[in-house]
Amino acid sequence: MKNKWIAFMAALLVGAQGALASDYGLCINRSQGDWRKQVVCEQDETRRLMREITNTYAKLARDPHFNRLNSGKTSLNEQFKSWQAYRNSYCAYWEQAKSGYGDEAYHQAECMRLVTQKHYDDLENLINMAYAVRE
Amino acid sequence: MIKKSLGCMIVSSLALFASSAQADLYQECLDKNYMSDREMAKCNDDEATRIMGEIRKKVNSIAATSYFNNWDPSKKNFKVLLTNWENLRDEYCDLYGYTYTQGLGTVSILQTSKCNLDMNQRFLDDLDNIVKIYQENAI
Repeated sequence: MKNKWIAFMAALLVGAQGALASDYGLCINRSQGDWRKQVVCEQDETRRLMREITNTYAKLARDPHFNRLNSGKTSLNEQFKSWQAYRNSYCAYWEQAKSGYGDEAYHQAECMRLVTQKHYDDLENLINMAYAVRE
Repeated sequence: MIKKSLGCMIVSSLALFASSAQADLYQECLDKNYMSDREMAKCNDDEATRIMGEIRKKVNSIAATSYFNNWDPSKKNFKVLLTNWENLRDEYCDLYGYTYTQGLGTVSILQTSKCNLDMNQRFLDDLDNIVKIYQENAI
């Protein structure tokens, strides 16, 4: 019975993740090429990824494996701050490289999403590796 | 015009040749020291330093274009970008290396150095992206 319940919850979770991931694609499709609407899609997706990143940092901070790290939580906070600083300065260049056509807001939003996605993947990589090493 | 194109082709070929020779040196270093984590970590560090040199060259060449020079004449933003990048890389790679053995043994050192190398390569690719975007936009 317990197994069935776990399988049901897992299916719900996978379904929810799938729906969220496709929200961005749907939003872009609905924009019909209007970059102003696409800015909103990019920002929504970045917000979703930021929530995931915050959860992943919290997961890392709770993990005893990382707790034993010299400066523990402080180290994670520092990493988060460094990443945000890097993202903002890199995207300023990205935006500047594409500027001149009046659609800078779109390029800025696109860059923020792409860099946020990369950082999320890096953190997932860290968590997966931590679990793999323990097994 | 033909001379200029030919010149560009020769310079590109030379650059490609030099880059592949450097990659061979790195692989050679790893092959020679495969029994020692510390020595392999040193190979990674040397290669990471070489790529960091390429990053600085690339940043300077971007900063030298009149387009970016007008935007940031003091090159302050470039310095900030590099510092932010180095901070992020070092903090992430510390964690990455730690994840292996919680700082114990030599595997952490090896993994940290490999992470530094991979992150440098990624940043170089990110800078290439900026150059590509700028060139496409300038046409």
